[in-house]
Amino acid sequence: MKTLMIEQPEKQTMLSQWFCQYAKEAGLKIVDYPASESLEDLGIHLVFEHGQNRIALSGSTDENEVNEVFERYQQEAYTEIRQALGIDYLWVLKLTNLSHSANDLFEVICQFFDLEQKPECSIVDL
Amino acid sequence: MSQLKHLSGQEVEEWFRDFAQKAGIADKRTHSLEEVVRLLDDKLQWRLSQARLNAFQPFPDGSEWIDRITQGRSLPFIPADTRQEFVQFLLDRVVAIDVALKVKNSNGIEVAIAVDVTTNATKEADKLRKIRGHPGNEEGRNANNNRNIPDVRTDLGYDKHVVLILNDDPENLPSYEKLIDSIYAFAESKSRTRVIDLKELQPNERFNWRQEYEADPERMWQQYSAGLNLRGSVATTEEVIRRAIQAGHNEQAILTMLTRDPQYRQIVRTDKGDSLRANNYAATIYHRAKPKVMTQTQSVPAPEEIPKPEDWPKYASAIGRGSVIQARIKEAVAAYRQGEPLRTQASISLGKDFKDFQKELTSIRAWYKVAQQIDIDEKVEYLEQITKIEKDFTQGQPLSKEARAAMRLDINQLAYSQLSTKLDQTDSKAFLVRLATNAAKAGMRPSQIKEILSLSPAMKQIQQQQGEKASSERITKIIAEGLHLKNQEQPKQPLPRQQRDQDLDRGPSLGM
Repeated sequence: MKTLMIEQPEKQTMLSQWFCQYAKEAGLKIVDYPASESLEDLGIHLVFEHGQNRIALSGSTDENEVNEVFERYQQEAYTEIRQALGIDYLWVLKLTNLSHSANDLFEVICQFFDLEQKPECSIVDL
Repeated sequence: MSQLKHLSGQEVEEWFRDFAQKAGIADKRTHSLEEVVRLLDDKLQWRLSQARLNAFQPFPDGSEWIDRITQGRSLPFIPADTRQEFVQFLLDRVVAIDVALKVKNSNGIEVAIAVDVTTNATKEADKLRKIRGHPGNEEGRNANNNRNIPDVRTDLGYDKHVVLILNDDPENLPSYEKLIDSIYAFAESKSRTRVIDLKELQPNERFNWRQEYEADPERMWQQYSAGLNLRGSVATTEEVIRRAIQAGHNEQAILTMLTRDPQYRQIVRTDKGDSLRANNYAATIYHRAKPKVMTQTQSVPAPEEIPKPEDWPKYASAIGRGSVIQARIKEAVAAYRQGEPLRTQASISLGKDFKDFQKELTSIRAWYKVAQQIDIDEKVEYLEQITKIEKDFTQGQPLSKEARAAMRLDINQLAYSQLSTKLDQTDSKAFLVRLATNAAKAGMRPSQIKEILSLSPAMKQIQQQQGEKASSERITKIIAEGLHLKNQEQPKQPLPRQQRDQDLDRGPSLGM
């Protein structure tokens, strides 16, 4: 199966740019990975650190794509790769538009880290 | 601005902050970093702890600063600007305050409003729940991390909190007029929290709508000629011009619009493409129509009901605007005198200042009439004093506290004597309730009714014997009974509901 990156390169580039810009606005501490660790192949736009936790972000404005990404990357094989990279959680963001405020992600952080049972991979309605 | 077609969340917030500054309604108070951190640590500890981990950009030392303050250690040197930016960051994340406003309501009372700006309409219910202190995630260990948000808001000095939903499309942001109307309506309302959704806008409610219209003369002509018999020639042209002038378009824009007038086109055709005579025709009709429009406008209200830009410094000074704003106004008026038109936001501010000025002037004039009717010693001298106060006010001298207090007392004294005439005063409680009912029916606000009731001998006695608190509680109960009676005797007319004042409790939607 082709990845989304190959199917819609322009859209993915735009999304990647948006994730970088949003991460900056949201004050996230981005984790640098060597180029050899291709996060794109894991459907990941970026990884950030929140305290002791590392969270990978993926996502789309298209709900079907969100579901598709979630179905694909929640598989055990991907989870193991993420763990090997020190990633604790994958959040597949369901984006309303590309103008979310920093506060939108902050609310998710507050609610997620308040959960007793935190899923390793989840769809997050931003 | 972003190169993308939409604005980022941060850009929308900045746009609104800029509006608040230009409209002169930004709350200029600042909060000390230490005080804010201690307050959040005391009342919103969980949210602060998450913000602490989320402050990396652009405050790499932010978590260290929070730790030092909560541990009672001193801070290293932090520039004042950085401190304020960090306070803003914490208020945004932890308390959902992006921008703070301060406006005066129609009673002259300042209302401080905290604003959470968002483009995310799908989360409006969650955001409203949060600022009302309801839980964001009931499954969490700390079932309600938001509980103290209303308390913190109050501790920071904000009376109200609004979730303001705007479009991320720069072409579809609200006009300053629309925003100001919405904010003042909220300031007047009894609600402490509200969602104001300004995503759906009429064309004339959009930001820069005049410029948009003016960029498209054909559309402008269609707009202002709608419903007219276009065979009416000169009369039709005059009517279109009248409508355009009243909508605030300038001469150049109207003359450009007139190139779409069938009369104009006919002249050009007759002159085989030469537009010189047609341009003269348009200019002649414009200059003939304009004085008529001005006369029509002036003939309805009193002559002083039109704000004069050159008198703006007097209006601003009389209503007690701050020195910084007054200096800006002087600059704008100086530019205006040299032929530069006032900018849109300046026109709005002028209109608002003029409205406040007129309101106070009307009160002073009403005071004079009241003073003529009440029984006072040395009435002639007293009336002369009021005349002088009015004259000084029109020259830009604000009302003194003493004058304002005397005015209120006189007005309330007369209202009390008029409202109590013909009322049976045998049972003092029944008398006061009836007085409150009649005052409410006359459209008086509870604050004024309270002042009027306190003039009654019965209430004065209670105040002397039992103190201010007991008297105030008694009056409040009487007003409540009076309002209840008024509503029974004079049921409210339903009002159109233009803004949502929701109380949605749909529960969180983390979506996990």
